[in-house]
Amino acid sequence: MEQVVQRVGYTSLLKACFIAFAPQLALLFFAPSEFVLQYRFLIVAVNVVVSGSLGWVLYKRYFHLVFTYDDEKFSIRKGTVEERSYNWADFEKLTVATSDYGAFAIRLYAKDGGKVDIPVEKFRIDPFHFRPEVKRLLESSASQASMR
Amino acid sequence: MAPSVALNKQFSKPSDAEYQLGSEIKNQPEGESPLERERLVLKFERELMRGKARWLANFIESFEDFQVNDVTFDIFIRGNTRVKGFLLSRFFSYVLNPNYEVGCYMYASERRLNRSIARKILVTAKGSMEANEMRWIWLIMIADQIDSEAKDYVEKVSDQGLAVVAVETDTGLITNSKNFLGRQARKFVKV
Repeated sequence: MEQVVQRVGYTSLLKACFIAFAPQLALLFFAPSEFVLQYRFLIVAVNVVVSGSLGWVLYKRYFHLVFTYDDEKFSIRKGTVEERSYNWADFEKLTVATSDYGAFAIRLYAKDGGKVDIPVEKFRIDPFHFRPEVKRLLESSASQASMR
Repeated sequence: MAPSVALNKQFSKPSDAEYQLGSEIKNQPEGESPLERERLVLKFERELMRGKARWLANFIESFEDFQVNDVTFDIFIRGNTRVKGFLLSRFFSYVLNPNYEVGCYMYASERRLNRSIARKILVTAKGSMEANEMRWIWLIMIADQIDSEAKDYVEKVSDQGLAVVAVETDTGLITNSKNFLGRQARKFVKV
């Protein structure tokens, strides 16, 4: 059965909201000061609403991470623009690794020497609890591949 | 979304109570030691990877069932002495700290740990350390029972690049090598 894991990445969402907010802030520098002072509360309200909604759209399109897996394959999708899919059978070894900033990932070593990181921390999955499951998937896919 | 919810429950982060292993070991009924050994290994691994020993080294990758010759270590964690930080601390660490490769080997066994087994594990770990050009390593051995000869052997390890800690789960006794690294490692290993 296919499992889908997705979490809202608050740091990425904040980044997307700021990207939406920055041009609005820049526009205010060119607006007449009397206008800004007169409608300041309305301007703030509009800024917040536009930044929030536009930020959410940007986040879903470019930053939102979705991890999907079943017994044969898994994929990591970032927004709607980037998706990487792999077969469990292509990997032979796994480790728990940390990035430079201490974020945990399950690192898979491919038979051809490459490696792929599943950023489990971003999905709020405990890597030490998830490791046996990934190990089981690697072993079952390897045994299926050898039977073919 | 239903599978997602189920998955979260299954693999979500453990509560703080799950880390309280010391009291569990003391109250553990007989016959459940293998589970406790595994949990001790997992506890040490988790703490090292989460940066409990960051004052000494930055452990970055953990290998399960790490095979060296005919010895299988339950866990091997590799790391380095260049501690990561943010902005200034990162810069100073890069400029001032040497970047030595280091490691931590963990071996857990249900067998009684005697001197010859301890020696074999130690020699294997030391060989792996030299082969991988590591500057120093920690070796943590966990067993239900440890012979007094094995404890003496551990205490007498004088190699400055090797810290050895032996944990006897039945009694909760911890023995460590008396060199500098061994004393540092002993501070980290708490049952």
